[in-house]
Amino acid sequence: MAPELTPDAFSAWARAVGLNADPEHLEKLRPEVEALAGRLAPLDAIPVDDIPIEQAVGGLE
Amino acid sequence: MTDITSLPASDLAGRIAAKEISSTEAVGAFVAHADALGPEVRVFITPTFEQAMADARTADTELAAGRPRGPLHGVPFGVKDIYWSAGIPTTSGSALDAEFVPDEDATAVRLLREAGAIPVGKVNTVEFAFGPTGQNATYGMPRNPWGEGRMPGGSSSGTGAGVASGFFPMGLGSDTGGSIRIPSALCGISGIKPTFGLVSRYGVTPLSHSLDTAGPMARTVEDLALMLNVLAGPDERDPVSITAPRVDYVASLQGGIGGLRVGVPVQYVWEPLDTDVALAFEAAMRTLEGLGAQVMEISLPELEWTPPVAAGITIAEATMAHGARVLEHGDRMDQVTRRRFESGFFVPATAYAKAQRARVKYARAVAQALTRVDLIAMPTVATPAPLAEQDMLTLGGVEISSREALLRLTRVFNLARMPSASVPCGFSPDALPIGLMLGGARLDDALVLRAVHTYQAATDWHLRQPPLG
Repeated sequence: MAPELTPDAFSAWARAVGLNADPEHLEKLRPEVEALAGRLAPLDAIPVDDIPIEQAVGGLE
Repeated sequence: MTDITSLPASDLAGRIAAKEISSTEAVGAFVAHADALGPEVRVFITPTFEQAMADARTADTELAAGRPRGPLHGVPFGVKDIYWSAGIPTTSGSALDAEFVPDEDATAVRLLREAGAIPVGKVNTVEFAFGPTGQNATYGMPRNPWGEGRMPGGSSSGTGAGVASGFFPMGLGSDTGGSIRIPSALCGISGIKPTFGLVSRYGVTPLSHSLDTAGPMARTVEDLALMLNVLAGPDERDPVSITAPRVDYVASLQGGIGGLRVGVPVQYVWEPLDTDVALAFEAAMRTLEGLGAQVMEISLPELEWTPPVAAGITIAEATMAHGARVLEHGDRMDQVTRRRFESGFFVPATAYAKAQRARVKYARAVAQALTRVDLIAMPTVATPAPLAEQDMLTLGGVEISSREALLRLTRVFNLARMPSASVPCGFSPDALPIGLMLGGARLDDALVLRAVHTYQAATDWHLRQPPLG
């Protein structure tokens, strides 16, 4: 996840991917995205250099 | 007189085959029971009772003519409404698909029908199968017959509540992070998430293509085996379908568990965990020991990776599957589900790839553990069924969201792509069911079923009837 996603950056990202950029909607979406970022953060600490990406992405290893 | 709606599918199939009861009587009893309780239990999205009765009459005619279709001849089943049914709306639990009518059956539905089973309706699911609570803003939350206002679990909420309520003795569920086993545990029934790829997903609305697994739910493990005998097999129309040696899962139930090594992880499982769930699990381990198994602790620190790896894969893939529709029609969805899908647009490709690489490493670690033991045991769900309005729980002094509490243990075997089954193993002081989960190595589905069957044959938790049935 992008670190320290500011409100402006969050809004710009939302517009870029085509989300409803209504401020009220984004205000409700932002906590969901921040919570997801928190859940994904521990991925950084998992060592995966020994797993070739070709084996992992595609779902048929 | 026997209450037909309390009979397991295997018992019903035997009685129908022996012409002790007719399929018309059997299907009629389940339909009448479901009809009597009415739509307020919110199990059915599209009931097909009239067609089911017509199918039952046909089944009786075929049997009288000496032409039984298969091992499930005349037995009713419920269909999670993410499985295509030819000519019948398949909503995926969403207003977006309320008008979608497939022109063919999903492979799993077709196989069950070819084996003689009779669908009685399309049943409730969390919208696009994306969530573990059972809540659905469009079609309502199915009533958990063990407690008014209690979550039935999801996403296969209608199948779980429907089997537990006696509306059908067996049904189809699907499991991406626990969606068969969570409602099985919370509704006091049995369910198995088979090995990834063992059961075809053709005609099943996708959520997370690298984790989605189709499978059966029923009252008893014997019924699960009977269904898996019909459902397991290759299907060229499902890209992840595997060709595995043919197994008779019913015959494999016999033999007991003497000498089997059952590993209980020392990490991750125990906090947060409801105290009553922990006590029921400990008692279940003593029962397994009494049946001849060796229960031992195992170290599996990689289990701590479960939440981030599961989130990184599931949310990104869910958005891959449905994001375009969410962008266009999100205002017609449950807004909580909509935001969950929309959050997937913020997962970078690098994070998704990292999660997939971590999943492979995780699966290897679980597989390595399963060279030291035959099975891995843990509670199915960290809590008995929460109340619908409980967004947060405190389990063993630790605060956790209900959603995370429901998912945290079942996901282990999704990420490992290995089979795992849930069976009832006790009740909370509030008389809510508690589930025991056993998992095994890839393609050891028969061993998993044998173990939970042996446990079930020695206990009576699965025989208890819910107060609101």
